[in-house]
Amino acid sequence: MILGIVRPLIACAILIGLVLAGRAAQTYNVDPIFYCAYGVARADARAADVLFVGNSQTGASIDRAYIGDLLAGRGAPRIEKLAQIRSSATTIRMLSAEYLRNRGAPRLVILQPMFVRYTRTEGVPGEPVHSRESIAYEGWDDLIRIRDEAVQAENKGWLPRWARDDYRSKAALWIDRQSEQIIAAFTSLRRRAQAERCRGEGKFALASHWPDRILPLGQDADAGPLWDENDRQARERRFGERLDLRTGEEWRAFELDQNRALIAAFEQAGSEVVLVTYPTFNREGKDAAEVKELSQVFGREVIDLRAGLDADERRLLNQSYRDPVHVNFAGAQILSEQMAEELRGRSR
Amino acid sequence: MINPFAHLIFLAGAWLVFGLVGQRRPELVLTLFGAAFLASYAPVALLWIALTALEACLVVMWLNGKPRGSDLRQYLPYVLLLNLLFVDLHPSILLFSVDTLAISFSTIRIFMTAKQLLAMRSGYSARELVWVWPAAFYLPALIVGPVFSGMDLRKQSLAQERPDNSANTYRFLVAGLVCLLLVNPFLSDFANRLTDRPQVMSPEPLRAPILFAMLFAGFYGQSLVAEYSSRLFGRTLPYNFDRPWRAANIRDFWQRWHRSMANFVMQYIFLPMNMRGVGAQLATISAFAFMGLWHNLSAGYFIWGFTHGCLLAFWPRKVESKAGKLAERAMTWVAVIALSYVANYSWLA
Repeated sequence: MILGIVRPLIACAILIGLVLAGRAAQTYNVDPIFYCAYGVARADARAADVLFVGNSQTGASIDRAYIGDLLAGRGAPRIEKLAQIRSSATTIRMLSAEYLRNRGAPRLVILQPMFVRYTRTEGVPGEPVHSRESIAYEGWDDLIRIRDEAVQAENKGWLPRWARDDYRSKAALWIDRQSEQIIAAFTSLRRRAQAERCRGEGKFALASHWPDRILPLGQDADAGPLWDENDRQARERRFGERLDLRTGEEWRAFELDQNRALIAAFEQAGSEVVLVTYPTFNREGKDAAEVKELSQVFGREVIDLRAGLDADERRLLNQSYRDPVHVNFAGAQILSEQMAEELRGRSR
Repeated sequence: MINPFAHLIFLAGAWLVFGLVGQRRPELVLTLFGAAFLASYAPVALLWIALTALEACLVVMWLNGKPRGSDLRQYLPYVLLLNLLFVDLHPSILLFSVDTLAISFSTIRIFMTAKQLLAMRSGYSARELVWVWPAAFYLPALIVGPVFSGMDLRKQSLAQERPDNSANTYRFLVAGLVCLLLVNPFLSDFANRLTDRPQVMSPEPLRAPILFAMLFAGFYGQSLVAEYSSRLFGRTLPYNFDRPWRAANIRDFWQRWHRSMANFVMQYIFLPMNMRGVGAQLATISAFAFMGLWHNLSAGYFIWGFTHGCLLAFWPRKVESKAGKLAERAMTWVAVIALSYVANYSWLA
């Protein structure tokens, strides 16, 4: 009996040890940008004056340091950016809640509303809440609370939500969390350097995604990658699959609720929230229609960065895409300058 | 996609409970933990497998009164294999996707158990039906098999087989974990790096050998984990692999690669067809076409199974010359890797 239990106990002790080691190292096998984003949300500093929140489009379009430089001399606001790649309304909501809890309310939040645009690759709008990144970094209570909201949200299908392939029971989520921590223990050596960068001041730059502190571009500076002609055709085809917002559709309901909850959380904490959308390639008309639609749905101002550009800037912007939705450094410079103009107008 | 560590955590939990209850009733412990694993990750798969197991019990009970050797008794259990269609057809029927984890392997194991219950010379007692359930939910074998009959577990239970805690068991268990958790992700990463856009899985045929090695590492590793973790509970499962890298020709390959499934199709598809007068070559092709469609109801896997069947059916019986043997070996591996690519990564996949 005793011998029979010793070996399994040793195996369990090894697993528990790996879980604890992984939890301490936090070197999860996901893009380090998530670690840095949570590092920013948990930083030991007061909240930023201006906080940009969004996905990789926010990341690619805004250089927080450059905007800070452009606004210097006018109270020099402290600007930060939480730009999560492949984020959904729920993942951004959890990250933002972490920021508010640890650092308080920013004075102004420039929020890019989160919408799933490719159901085939991104899943049901607003879901799943249990991305690997959320499981790894998110607080357990927040993760479970938002998961429960998703489970209880109105169900369009005739089968219960627990039947769907993206469903995770609480037990499965808990075990997935331990699994991620075991993986973190195994990858701690390989990812230690990245983790160290995210523990220090580097997190503010890394959480910004890209670019950071490289604008304005010098005369011969590299403007970053351009959309490869060979790649364009394939990508454009995929861009054709991009979903329209169609905020009145039932399948958007949960996602809209999550965006509203995100806005409400910032406002209740004392932040002013302004929405923004970033231009996408060759969709001037559709982008403008979406700005109008978002403004109606959320009942608030939506910054349309493209609307403020002159013809030359629009032409340059159109030549600065590295893919259908992300601009390169030259495009980021145009959009950051335009954003600085917007913010300057606000501080008058 | 199930994280392999999640499966390991359940295995460790089951092992602990097995130790706590005095190393008794391994099938019960592993079946309960297997059901809990499925309830956590794929509740619909749990229900579907339970339904299939129940269906098997009813079929066996009903057929028990039929004359031994009758066609009905011999062939009706094959209706259980129709339950495999759920894996590929359910999105069109249910109008959304559910996790079908373990259904493919469990259905085969349930079918094999039903067939062997009906084949028992002394007839079975109602209590024997209980062996359908470990076949359905046997935790170590839920992810990639191997396939076996619940009656194999029964035999070992009656023989009161004890846990095998030899160094060999732990050696192969660790080897499995290394393949599964280190080699497979490394090769996957390597294959992705070969393309200009690592985020996009758009493998070209030149990467086929690496992708094949990646699949093999994952499948081999998970199989070793299944086989050797089961030994810790005193139950030996059939091997899925027997050093397939040594395969000298396609016939040899199928005696070394996914052996449990290859044996299944030969025993339950090839033999019945052959005994009813279907030629060996056609029966072989049919058996492997079934195996292809069992993997996935796709053109790619049909071509994979059909071609493997044709190769097996028409491969030369004996090659004498040294150069011929070398060519035979080379052609086998080219065919295996190319067909794996067609089934898994081509536009036919």
